[in-house]
Amino acid sequence: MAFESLADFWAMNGYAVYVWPAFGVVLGSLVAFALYSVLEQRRLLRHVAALERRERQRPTARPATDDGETT
Amino acid sequence: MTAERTATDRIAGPLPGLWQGFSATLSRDCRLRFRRRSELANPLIFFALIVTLFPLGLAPDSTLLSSIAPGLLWVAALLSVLLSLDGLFRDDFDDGTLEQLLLAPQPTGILVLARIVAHWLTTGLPLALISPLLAVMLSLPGHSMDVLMLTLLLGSATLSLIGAIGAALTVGLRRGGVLLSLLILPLYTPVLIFGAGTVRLAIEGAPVAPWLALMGAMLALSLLAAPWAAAAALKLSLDG
Amino acid sequence: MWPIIHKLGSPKWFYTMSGRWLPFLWGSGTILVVLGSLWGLAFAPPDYQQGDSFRILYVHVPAAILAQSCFALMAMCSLIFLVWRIKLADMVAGAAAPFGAAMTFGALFSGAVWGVPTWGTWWVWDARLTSMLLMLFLYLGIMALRGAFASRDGGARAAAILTLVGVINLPIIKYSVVWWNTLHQGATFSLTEKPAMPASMWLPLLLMVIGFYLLFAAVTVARTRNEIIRRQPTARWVRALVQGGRHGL
Repeated sequence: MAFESLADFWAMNGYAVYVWPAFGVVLGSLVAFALYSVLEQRRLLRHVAALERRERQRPTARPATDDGETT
Repeated sequence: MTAERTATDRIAGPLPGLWQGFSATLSRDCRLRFRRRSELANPLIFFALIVTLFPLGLAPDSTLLSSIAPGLLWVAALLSVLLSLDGLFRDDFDDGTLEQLLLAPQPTGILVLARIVAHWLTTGLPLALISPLLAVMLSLPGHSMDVLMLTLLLGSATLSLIGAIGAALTVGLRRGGVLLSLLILPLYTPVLIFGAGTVRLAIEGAPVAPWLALMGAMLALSLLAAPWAAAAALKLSLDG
Repeated sequence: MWPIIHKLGSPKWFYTMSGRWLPFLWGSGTILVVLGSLWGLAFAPPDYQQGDSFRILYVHVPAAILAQSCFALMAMCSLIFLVWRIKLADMVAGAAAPFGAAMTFGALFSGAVWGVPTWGTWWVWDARLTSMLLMLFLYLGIMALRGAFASRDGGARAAAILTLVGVINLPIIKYSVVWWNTLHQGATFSLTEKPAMPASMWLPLLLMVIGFYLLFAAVTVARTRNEIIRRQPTARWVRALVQGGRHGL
């Protein structure tokens, strides 16, 4: 352990203003990407489920295709 | 006899070769550009205007101006080339000539190269030729004028080549102008750095031959790669 | 050869295979980054010259490495997409771009913040920072170009061409900026070139770099999976996936 106490650790010997924002921005962007991609997946799968429900009510509207590519 | 043969050649003979396609495109483009004289002068006037703005914005101090002159002239030339890029393919895209260019039997890269050469002849070359005039106004030392012109000649050709890729990528977009500068300016930085840096070295009296050779190398690399990249970009712009 | 390429390029195969790797990627990446951060922040000895401000190294260096690796990955995917027209390659390139831009920004931000205690100013026209800034502009240009096209295929091909032009240019930009920097005799003190770091300093850095790579892989795979669903919402296997509830992570 390079620091005497937890308060010392937070203070970083006076460099706290520099060290913590740098870590915050880089690690924060990692967390943001992780959260966003998981939330986006939930949203997309809900969207697919909704598409399917709508289709079941009108079975002839748009049948599922093998590749299903839409542009 | 010979007249007869040329007549049949014209109907069923071999297709026009690479050189014929290149020179035909080049002469057509040059002729079109020279017919629109006001558009031809625009980049030059823009170049002169930017150079005029700097002494007004800074101070009419000749030592200050001569120290920033290489970078200033280079940035101004670069922006003038950038401004003229949007017209490289735009008109021909709108009236359908570009599709004919892609349908031609010659490789598209060669024809695109001809257009780029025409663009350089009407923007980069005149910019390099009038640069000493503006350099005098910025009190650039006299012994570095030839180096300034040489770097602008070599560099503006590279700028036209790289810029053609960006112009081809954005020609299908309605508001491609701002996007074009965002795409192209980062790619222009090496040319700017070596161009302005070489002139600065010439002012100090240092040998400049290696840096001129390096700028020639950049020109050679972009000559090899840029026409083909621009041709591929034109193809997708017409597909999309 | 061809069946393998087709299998690799099949979105369905990718989706089912990556579903198995993804939890491992998220888990191991998170563990390594958390361990590396704790080690680097609390246990590594302070630098004899820079004191505790050197700890910024533990995010600055991985972010800078990832920014470059991400561009390399995008260039590879763009080449595969342009040559073989494998759409999955384009999806990976599109998924990686924002992450690369974020890492470039992170490297720039941490470098600027690090500059205050070491150089006494936020921004120095140092060769590394300047070429990073230009790379950020390249990333933004590629993302903007992809978004500007109305057709998805047009945007994909345009972005691929620009990525390849950019990757040829990046070494030239880097070299020219270094030359420009020596011409001006600017800051000679470099942030990352240090004489022989002790193991207690570079081991946490190694953990961080590996952890960042794993998280980069996880984010790219997850975003590619999302893109697959976005492009094929009516495919049978996607339907089966939703009904079966096997969402994976």
